[in-house]
Amino acid sequence: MNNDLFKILKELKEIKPSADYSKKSKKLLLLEIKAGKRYGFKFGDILTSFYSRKFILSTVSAIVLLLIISGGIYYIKNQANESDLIVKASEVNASIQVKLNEIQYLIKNPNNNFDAGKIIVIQSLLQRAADDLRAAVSSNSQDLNQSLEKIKAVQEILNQIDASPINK
Amino acid sequence: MIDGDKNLIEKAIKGEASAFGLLYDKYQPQIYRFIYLKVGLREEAEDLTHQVFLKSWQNIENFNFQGFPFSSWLYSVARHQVIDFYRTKKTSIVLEEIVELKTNDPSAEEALDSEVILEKVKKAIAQLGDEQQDVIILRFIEDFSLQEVASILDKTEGAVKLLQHRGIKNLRKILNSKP
Repeated sequence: MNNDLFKILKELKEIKPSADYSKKSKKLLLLEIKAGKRYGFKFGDILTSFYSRKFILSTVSAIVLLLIISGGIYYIKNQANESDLIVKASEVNASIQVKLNEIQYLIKNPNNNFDAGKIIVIQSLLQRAADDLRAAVSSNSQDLNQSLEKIKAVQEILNQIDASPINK
Repeated sequence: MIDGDKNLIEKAIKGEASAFGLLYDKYQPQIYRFIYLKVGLREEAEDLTHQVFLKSWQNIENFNFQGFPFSSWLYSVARHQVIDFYRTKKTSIVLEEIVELKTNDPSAEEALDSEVILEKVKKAIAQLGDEQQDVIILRFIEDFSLQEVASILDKTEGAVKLLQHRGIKNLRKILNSKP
């Protein structure tokens, strides 16, 4: 084997990542880049500083609290008969809740194999979705179209999340 | 520096994610290979490779066009990522097991032998010291020049030559030793 060592080393150049991994990793990277830009901070800092379940759980709890507040606002809006807006907002709210439940299930069950980095990114996107949704339903009734546009934008964020599965 | 790369890097520095996506397509396989040969586990290599590109995007403004390829800079980021990985993860890393298969087909036997030899060399590389690993991978698998390797490792060419000599000697020693 000694004489062929350099030839064998060259053969190791055939090692390649799987196409599936490369595709998913690129998609997630671009998602992370876009999310990082919007917030004006670097995700790497967060990934290295807060890679613990405790942090993830507390963030999820904070988002749940935000959604409860949003729920109250929907109720007030319902009183004002803005039914179309409320129906759409409720649908989006339910989608956010489903994603949060999925994350909580993954985190709480130690047997689950999940990517903490990916979850943090998805949480940030959900946080953004919840903020936008809150802004949409708390606008004045004259801004109905604007609110609907905001809700559509939130739906876009959720579509991005759907394109990147949480568990490995 | 390849002109196409320079153009993409400039666009990425300006914040164009799609330009960085193209750089990712081009360099991800070799960065993955470098990391995989150092950590020995596919899943760890995948996670680390992802982190390398994320960090590279975040720090791409710090990249200087100094005549060395963009990949040299990426390798440098990858090296530090692997060092951090070993610093935080104290558990020992075991190379994926070699699957011993028996067959009656001579050509299949030959292919299997070749696979086994490759696995042995992979394991032997993993047993080298960190810097010797870097030099062996970059010089003999990735075909970098002494000057480029010196730039990636932040060492003189003389120091790289010495690491190369010792790395090859140790690699032969490991391969010749009985399992």
